[in-house]
Amino acid sequence: MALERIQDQPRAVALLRRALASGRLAHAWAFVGPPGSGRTATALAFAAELLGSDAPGHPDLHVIVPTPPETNPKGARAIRIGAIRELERQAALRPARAARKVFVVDDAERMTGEAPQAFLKTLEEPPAATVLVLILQRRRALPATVLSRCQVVRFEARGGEAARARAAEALGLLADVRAKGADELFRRTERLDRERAEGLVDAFWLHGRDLLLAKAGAPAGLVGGPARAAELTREADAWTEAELVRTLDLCRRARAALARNVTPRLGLEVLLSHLALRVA
Amino acid sequence: MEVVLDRDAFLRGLQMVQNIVEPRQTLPILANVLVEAEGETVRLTATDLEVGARVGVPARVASPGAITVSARKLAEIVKELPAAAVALRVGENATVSLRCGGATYKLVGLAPDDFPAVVPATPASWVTLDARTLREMLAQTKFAVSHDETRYALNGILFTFQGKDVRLVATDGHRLAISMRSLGTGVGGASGIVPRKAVNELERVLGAGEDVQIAITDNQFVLQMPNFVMTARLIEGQFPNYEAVVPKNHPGKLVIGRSVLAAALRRVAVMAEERNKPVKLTLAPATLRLSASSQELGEAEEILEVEYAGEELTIGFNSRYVLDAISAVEKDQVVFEFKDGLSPGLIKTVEDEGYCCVIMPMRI
Repeated sequence: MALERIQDQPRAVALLRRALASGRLAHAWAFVGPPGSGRTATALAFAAELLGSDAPGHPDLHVIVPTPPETNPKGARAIRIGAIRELERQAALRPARAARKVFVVDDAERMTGEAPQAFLKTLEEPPAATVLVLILQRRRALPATVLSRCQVVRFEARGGEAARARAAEALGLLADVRAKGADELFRRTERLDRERAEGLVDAFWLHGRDLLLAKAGAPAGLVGGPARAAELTREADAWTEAELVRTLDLCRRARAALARNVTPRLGLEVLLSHLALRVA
Repeated sequence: MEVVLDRDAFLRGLQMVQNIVEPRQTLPILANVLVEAEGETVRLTATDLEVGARVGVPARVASPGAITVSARKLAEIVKELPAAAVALRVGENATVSLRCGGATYKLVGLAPDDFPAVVPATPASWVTLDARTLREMLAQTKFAVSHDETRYALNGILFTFQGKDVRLVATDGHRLAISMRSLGTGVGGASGIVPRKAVNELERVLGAGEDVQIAITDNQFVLQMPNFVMTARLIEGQFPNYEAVVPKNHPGKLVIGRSVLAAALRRVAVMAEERNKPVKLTLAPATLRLSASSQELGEAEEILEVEYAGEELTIGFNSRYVLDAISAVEKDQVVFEFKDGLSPGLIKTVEDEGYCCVIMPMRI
């Protein structure tokens, strides 16, 4: 089993295994997760299972990657409509050796212009014996019409590195805004995309929880060690318990608002002005 | 690997496979031709994963082996060489040295291990027919192959073997061409849609006289000739139920010389609208009036004396479709059958029942 070689993604692998074992395979898959989480390796292993062979250069395995435009080798790399048309042409042919053909579209969010539109028909109803795997970082990177045609498999960041990075970014932002005031707040929330805003809100939410725990005198083990507990207790002194509960509530509301299409900037500004400047 | 080949035979072999190599390739090795030396032959193989071909060239093999080199460059080189012996030798790091007369080349090759396999599993049964017959059948259907990429099942010719009949069918939704030949022997039962690129390659490699063998397997079309084999992946999908489209018992029958009709159509179509070149056919006993007009340009008309005994009727066709349909036959007399001004027309040959073409009319 090629899939056995995939470590760290037990949920994704189990889901794919179940699909393979049941024999009822979705014809389009979306592997969504941060780079480095093993999406491509898993896709290739999944393809090897589907084709019954992991020989390199198998004629029934087609990997599509973003390429620069034909006329300008230094141009932006993208998956253009021509690549999608070629994929469709290949998909329309019978498999060369295996029982089916597998198409892996890496960095699928780099599809430009009309490419996703052109892809819809094939995604919805590919020719017989065709399996498509799209690899992308974030669900929102592609139109919902594309994603809704795919079975989504989520990949978690390896070893929680991304979560740690996000927490550090959130705390850094909080400290900067506290030090430099409202101008810094408005400057830093400019050009903030939804995914990042969601990550930051999540990090503030967790931080709020830690503050509340520290305020209530919870054991240091619950908040990540004695050093951090002392730091949190110091910071928590500035808040009352009711205020901290209100903070958590604000985080919850900000998260819900972001999910309902509130401008990311607005959502984060409200939260930050409460957390850092105590005004909201 | 070390071999000596005759330049002319080498060039002929290369030309039979080289066209398959696409100028732009997803896998670098597909730009190369696989050269394998064994026994007393050098086998040349090229593929683009859709169509693959392998040809055998007689050679003196000093030491067997295999290598891949750029198909385009190799063909370019061999084409320019004088008619003499060509010596090929594979050196360190997949470099190939080529010597002929006073000229020497060093080519950068790629190891043959990653070259995709071309030759298919042995088909259950072969159909043997004359190369000229197959060529003719291809010509009688190829023009109707669709160019609409969204309807991929129409982007090729349907090959059907049934009983003793071999049948080729192509359609683009506006016209349908069928070419059928009965062979003396049973051909088993199989069918598959052969993509356009393979059809073009077939036409190129088919010679004049010799017998060829063809077969349809689960996923491939295979052509075999002495020292040559070609495979093509079939198109997935359902070919439309074409038999329902062919009109039977059309009452109006027009018999006309092919070249006379073609010449008159071309003359009249000069004045037709640019896009579809519609030409109006007005039929009355013993006469056919062809006319075309365009609002900006004016009009043209030509009256022909023909064999026609049916009712009077007026029908419009895309003149290109009619020209395509009648250029595909060799016999000079063709039969054009009609029912009324809105039903499809049917073109056949007078004696030979093996060919017919259905053309949808246009409203004019």
